[in-house]
Amino acid sequence: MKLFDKKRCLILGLVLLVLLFCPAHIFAGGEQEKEEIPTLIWLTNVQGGTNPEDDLIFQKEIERLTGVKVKLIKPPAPEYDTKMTAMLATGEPLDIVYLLDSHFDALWDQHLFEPLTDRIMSSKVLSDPEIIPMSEWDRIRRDDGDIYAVFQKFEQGTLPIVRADWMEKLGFAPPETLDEYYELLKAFTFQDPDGNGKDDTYGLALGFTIYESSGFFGAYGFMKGFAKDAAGNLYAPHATEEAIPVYEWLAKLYREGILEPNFVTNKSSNFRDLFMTDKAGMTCYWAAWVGMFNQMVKTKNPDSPFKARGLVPPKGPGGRLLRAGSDGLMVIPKWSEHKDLAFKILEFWHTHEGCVVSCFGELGHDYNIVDGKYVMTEIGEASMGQHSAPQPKSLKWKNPFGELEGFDEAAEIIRKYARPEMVTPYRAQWETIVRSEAAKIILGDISAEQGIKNMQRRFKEEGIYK
Amino acid sequence: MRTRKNILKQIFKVRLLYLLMLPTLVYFFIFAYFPIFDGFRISFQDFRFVGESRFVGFDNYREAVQTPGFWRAFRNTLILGFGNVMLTAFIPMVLALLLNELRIAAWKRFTQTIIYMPHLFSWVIVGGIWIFMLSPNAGIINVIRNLFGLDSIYFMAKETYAQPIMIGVNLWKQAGFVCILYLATIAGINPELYQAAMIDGAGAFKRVFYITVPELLSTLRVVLLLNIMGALRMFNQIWVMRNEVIAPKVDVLMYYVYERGLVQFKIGYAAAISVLIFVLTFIITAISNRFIKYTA
Amino acid sequence: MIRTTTLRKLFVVVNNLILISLALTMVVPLVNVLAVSFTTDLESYENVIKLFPREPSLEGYKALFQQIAILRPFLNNVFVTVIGTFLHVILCAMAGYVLIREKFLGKAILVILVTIPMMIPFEMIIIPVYVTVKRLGLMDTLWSIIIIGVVSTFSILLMKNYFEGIPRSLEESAFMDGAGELTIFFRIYLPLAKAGLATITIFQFVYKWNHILPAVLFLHSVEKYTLQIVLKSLVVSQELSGTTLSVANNARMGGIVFAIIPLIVVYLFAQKYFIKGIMIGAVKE
Repeated sequence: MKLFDKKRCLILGLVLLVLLFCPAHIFAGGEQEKEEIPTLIWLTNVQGGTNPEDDLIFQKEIERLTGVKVKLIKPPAPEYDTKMTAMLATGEPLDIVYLLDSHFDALWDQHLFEPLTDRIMSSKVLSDPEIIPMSEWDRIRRDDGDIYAVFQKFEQGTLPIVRADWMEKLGFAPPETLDEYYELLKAFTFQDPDGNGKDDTYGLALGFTIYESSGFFGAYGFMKGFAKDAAGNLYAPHATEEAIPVYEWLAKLYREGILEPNFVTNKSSNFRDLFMTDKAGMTCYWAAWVGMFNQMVKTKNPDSPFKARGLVPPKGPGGRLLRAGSDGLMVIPKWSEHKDLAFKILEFWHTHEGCVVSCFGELGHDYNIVDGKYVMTEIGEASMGQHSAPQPKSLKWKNPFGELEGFDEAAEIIRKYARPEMVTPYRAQWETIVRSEAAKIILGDISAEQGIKNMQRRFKEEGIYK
Repeated sequence: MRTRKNILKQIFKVRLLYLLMLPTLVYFFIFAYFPIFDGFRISFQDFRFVGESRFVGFDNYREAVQTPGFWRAFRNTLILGFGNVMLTAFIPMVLALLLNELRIAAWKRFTQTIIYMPHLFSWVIVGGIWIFMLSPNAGIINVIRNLFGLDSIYFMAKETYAQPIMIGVNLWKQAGFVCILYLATIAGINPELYQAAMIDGAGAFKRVFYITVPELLSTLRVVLLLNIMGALRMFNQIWVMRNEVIAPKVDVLMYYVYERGLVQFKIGYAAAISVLIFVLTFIITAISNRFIKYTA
Repeated sequence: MIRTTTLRKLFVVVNNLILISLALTMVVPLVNVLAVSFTTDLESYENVIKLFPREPSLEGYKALFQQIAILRPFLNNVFVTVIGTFLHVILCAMAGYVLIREKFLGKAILVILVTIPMMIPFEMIIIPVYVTVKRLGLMDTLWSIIIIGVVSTFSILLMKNYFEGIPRSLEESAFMDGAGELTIFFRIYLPLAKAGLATITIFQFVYKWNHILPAVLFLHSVEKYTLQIVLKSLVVSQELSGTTLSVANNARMGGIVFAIIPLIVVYLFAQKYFIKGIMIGAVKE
C-alpha cells in the first residue's frame, strides 16, 4: 500500500480546498486587537437590520452619523436571554446592552450597570422634556435615586385589532362592551364575512403570549402582572375570583368555536397569518401592527378590501384598560471601556437622525432624500420600519412619510387607555402560572374557580405569595 | 528507585499509545472534567456575576429539595425516561422482526431507509412537524377523527396526553436507529441455525422466537444502556415541544436547570441541581449496568 | 401445510400494511414540507396538509435567499460540520485503537477517564464551558463550534469494538516486519475499518449539523451564524417586542428543506457501510 494513493490524495485535496476557501474570518480570534478608534460592542435583539447583511449596513450608517464604530451582536430572539446572561456572567467586553425591564430589574442589584443620571441630566437631548418628559425618567429611577438605563423606543401596547371591512359588511358598529364584542366575534365566525361560501373563519385568533393582555381583562380593571394589596403584599389580579367572568367569557368563545383553537401553541406569526389571510376577524397585538397589517396585505394584493383598525377596548365594571408595552432599555455595563462613546450612541438614538435610523434604516439603502424629501427605496418598502422602533420615544418625532394606514388612531387608543404593568422580578413566573391555568380554563378542562385556586397555590409554591 | 525507573521505562515503551490518546484526554479535561468541577464549586455559592460570590454551604441543595418544582421535574424525568427506555427498546425490536420478514430486498432497504430518516433531523424540525400534525384543526390525526365524526382533541394542550405524546414522538424519531441495531444483529446470525431448525420441523414463528429473539438479547442490553443515558439528558425535545400548559407534566430536570440558570439567573441553584443530576446519572447507570449484566 | 401458506400470505399482507402506514407517517410530513416550500406566499398560509403546491412558485426560496440571506449560514454550517466530523473521526479512531491494546501501564485509568464524560451532557455545564471557551480565545470563532464534541466516548467505544473485530494475525506479521505502532494504526487498522469510520462519520455529521446550543452561545458576529440559529428563529420564532421579521410559511418550509437535504444525501451515500459498521461496532460488545 502506498502512502499517497489516489484516494488519500483526493481526500487531502478536498480538505485543503475547504480550508482554503473557507471565509477568512474563521481564523480570526475572538479578542479584538486594540485599534485607534475603538469599536463598541452592542448586544441587542431588536435594533439593526432584518438579516446579517442588513446589520452590516446598519453599523456603517451608525458610524456615518455619529463617527462611532459599532458592532452588533444579535442573537436570535428565542435565545436572547440565554446569550445575554452568559455574556454578562462572564464579563464579556460589552458597551451597550438592550434588555427588557424585568431582566433589568432582576439583574440590577448585581451591580452590573453604570449609573447614568449625571450624563442624562447634562445631555441636551435626553434632558429635554420635549423629547422625554422627566416623569418617564422617574419611572425607571431606582431606589438609590440613580437612573441606570436609557429608553429604546415608545413601547406602545397591545389592543384588539379588527377587520373593519368585515365589520362594516356585516353591519356592526365598533363594539363597546364584552357582550357586544361577543356578538361581533360570533358574526365573524358564522356569517361568512369573507363571502367565499365556506365556513372557514374564526372570530378571534390569539397566541399564548397575548391573551391576557388584550383588554378583555381590562374591562374589569385587571392589569397584567402584580399589584399590591392594602397590607403592601404582592398579589396577581388575574388570579382572583373577580376575574372569573372574563375567563368564562373566553371559555365560551372557545366552546362555541369562535376562538381559533390553536391558541396555546400559536406563535405570534401564526395568529398574525390567520388575521392577514381572511381566517380571523380579530386579533390582539401591538398597535404598530395595525399599520403593518394593512401595508403587508396591500403590497401582496393591492385589490384586497382588507382594512385593519385598532379598537377601543371593551368597557366594563373596571372601565377600560390596556397594557402598555414593557420598557425596552439600553444599559452600559460597568466594565465598558468606552462609556463616553457608548453614551453618545444612546443619546444619538433619540435625536432626529437616530429616530430616522430606528424607523426606516439607512440612507441610500432603505430611503433616499430627494429635494429635501424622504423617499423610500424598494428595499425600504419591503422591510418597512423593521429596524426596531416603529415609533421612537422622542415626543418631537414626526414621521416624514406619514404613518401607515390605521396606525395613528391605534396609537391614540394606546395613549388613552394603556398603562404599564408593575415591574417585579417575577414576570416569568406570573406568565407561566397564569397563562397555563388560564388556558386550561378556556379549554374547558377545569372550572374557572379551580383554575384560580391552582394559580394561588402555585404562586405560594414559588414563594411569591406569603 | 528501581520501581520508578521501571515505571518510566514502561511508560516510554507505550509512549506512542499515550500520544494517540493525548488529544482525547486534553479535550475531556478541558470540556468535561474542568467544567463539572467548576460547576461543583459554584453549587456551593450564592453566585454573583460581578464581585465576590459568597460561600453558602448546602443552601442551594437545601432549597432544591424543598422546591416542589424540582420534584415535579424529577418525577417527570423518571416517567418520561422509563417510557422512553422501554418503548424505544422493545417496539423497534418488533419492527426489526417485521422488516426482516420482507422478502424483496429493495423494498426492505427502502422501508428501512424511510423509517430511519427522522433520526437524521434536528428536534427543531421534528418538534415543528409534530406540533402541526397534532393541531386541532389541520393536524392529520384530528382530520381523520373528524372523518369518523369525532371531535377534535387539542393534543398539545392537554396534560393527560402530554407524556404519551413526548414518548411517542421520541419513539418516532429514534425507532429507525434502534431498529437498525437489531437488523444488524439479525443479519449476523448464522444461517445454519435456521436450517437446522427447519430440518427439526420448526415453523416460521418458532424459528423467530427460539433463534432470532434470543440472539437479539445481547443487542437489547446495549440498547437499554444507550436509552438510559439518553433519557437522563433529554433536553432538546422538551425545549422545542413544551408549552406552559403541559409544562408541569413534561419539564424534565435538564430543562429545569436551563430555566433556573439561564432564564431566571439563579446560577448557583442551577449548578446545585446539575450536580444532583450528575450523581443521579452515575447511580442509575451503575445500577442498570449491574442489573442488565446479571439478567443477561 | 396449506394452512401455513394462507397464514403466511395473511401475515405478509398485514406486515406490509403496518410497515407502509408507518412509513407514511414519515413521508407525509416531509412531502408536506416540500410542497409548502414551493407554494406562493398566499397559498402557503393555508393551514392544511399539502402534498403538492397548487401553483408552484419559487417565492419562498427567493425570500430565503434575499430577505433571510441563508447562503452564508448554510456555508458556515457546512464548514463546521465537515471539519468537525473529519477531526472527530481521526481522533476517536486514534483513541479507540489505544483501548484495544492489551494491558499496559495506566490503561485502567484511561478507560475510566474516557468513559465518565458520557454522563456529562453539554447542557449541564453550559456556563463553565462558556468561561473555558472564552479563556481559550475561541469565543466568536467557528473553531469553538468545531471543538465542542470533537471527541466522544460513544465514538471511541464504537471504534474500539470495531478494531477488536480485525484479526490480530495481520498486525502480528507487521510487527515482525518491524513496523511501529503508528504504521500499524494508519496502514492496517484504519484501512480495514472503513465501515466503522463511516458509522461514526454519519453519527457525528448529523450531530454537528443539528447542534444549535453552542452556536447560540459562542457566536456573536452575525456573519458567523450557522444554519441552525437562523432556522430556529425562522421555524419557532417567538418574539416579545413589537417588531419582528415577517416571512411567509413557504420560506419557513424552504429553510427546513435546506437543513435536511445534506443529511439525507450523506446518509444515502454512506448507508451501505453504516449498517455494516453498526453491526460490528455497536452491537457486539
